[in-house]
Amino acid sequence: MANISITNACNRDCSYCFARSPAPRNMTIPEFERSLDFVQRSGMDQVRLLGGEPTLHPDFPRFVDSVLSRGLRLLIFSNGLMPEPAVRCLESAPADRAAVLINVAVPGECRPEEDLGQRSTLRRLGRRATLGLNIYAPTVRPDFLLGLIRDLGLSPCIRLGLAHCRVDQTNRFLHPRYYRVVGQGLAGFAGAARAEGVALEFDCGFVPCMFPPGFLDTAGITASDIGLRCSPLLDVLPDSRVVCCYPLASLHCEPIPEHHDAAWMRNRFEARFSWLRPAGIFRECAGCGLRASGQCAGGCLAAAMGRLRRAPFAVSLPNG
Amino acid sequence: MGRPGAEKLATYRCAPHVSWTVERNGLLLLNAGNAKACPLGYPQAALWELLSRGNSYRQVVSKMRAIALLSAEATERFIADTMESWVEAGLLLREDRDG
Repeated sequence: MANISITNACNRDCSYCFARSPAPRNMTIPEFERSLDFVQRSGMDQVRLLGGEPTLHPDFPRFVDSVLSRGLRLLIFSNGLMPEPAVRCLESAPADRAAVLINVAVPGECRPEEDLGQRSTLRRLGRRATLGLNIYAPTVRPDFLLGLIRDLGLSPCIRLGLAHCRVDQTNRFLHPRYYRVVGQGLAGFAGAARAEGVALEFDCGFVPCMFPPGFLDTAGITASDIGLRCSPLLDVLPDSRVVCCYPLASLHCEPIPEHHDAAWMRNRFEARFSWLRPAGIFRECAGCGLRASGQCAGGCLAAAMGRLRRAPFAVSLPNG
Repeated sequence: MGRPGAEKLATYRCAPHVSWTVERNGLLLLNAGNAKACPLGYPQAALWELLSRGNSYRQVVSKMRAIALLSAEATERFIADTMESWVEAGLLLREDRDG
């Protein structure tokens, strides 16, 4: 898979967004086609379109056609507030090859018209739509999602994400000090989800130690399933530059390589940020058995960077 | 040429690209320049911490003596040896000059 951000324009203003940009830009058709060439050259069979809100791109239906006509599978990351042509385009796309992940707003944290707009889209997309939730505070609970899945006939799956910090920490994010509180809450929620036949997927940045003892075994998840999710994803930005991932985007980017594939590029990014790997998100990471045994990478690199200290000190000693 | 009788000084600076994190049992120095990590236990971590807080050499010696319970001479030897090892590891840069 590869993430292609086709626009950074958005019709919401989520405080936790790490992709916001002061200068909205739409990816051009030639840039998009070059991105798809890169995806296919890399042997990937799925393209994920992100934004901003990707459905706001004026050529969104054309982009969808282009992905599908190449035989690739498609996943759209959306906030659910889609223009009518985009909804129609997704309604008519083959359900086995085009899916939509809709990151929903927490009740009470969006305007009534936004809530209505999301519900309308979800109702129309039905089982094509999977719900996603970004947890940006320990008070954000996913319980309300089960009712949405039931009432609107959505795909029985929820994708949970932790709101990660940009390295400049200008967005709202879930500080690792709250991870264990969140993990405790999610462990309780997992039981309710299981009872309704709803599967949970965990996005990058979760760490095994945030969950109560025994939870992962009960849920049938290995520590490494959770703990090794931080690796270069490769996000292609609207200007067709490639970054390791959005939280680290301001540190380094590269143009799409003319002849190399994604594996080559991932290795480059991994090498670029390898010096950060020994630092984890917690003080305890350095002596953690899960890290020593290779089952956890220590969480999100951008969060680990938040622990770094720097000071340009100098001291003079008598010499000899 | 230095002034006659002027004290020779060695100035140690934190190398660019070096940062660190506080760990449960000390510090972890990270060098983005050579992608190497250097864990520091006690008392080296205390020395790095004192340096990073902008203490003068005399202040560092005084505080390290209190921390490590060493004689003045042993403390100064420890500081000099440790800082030289950090220079070799690329964590500090050393510059010699007349004071």
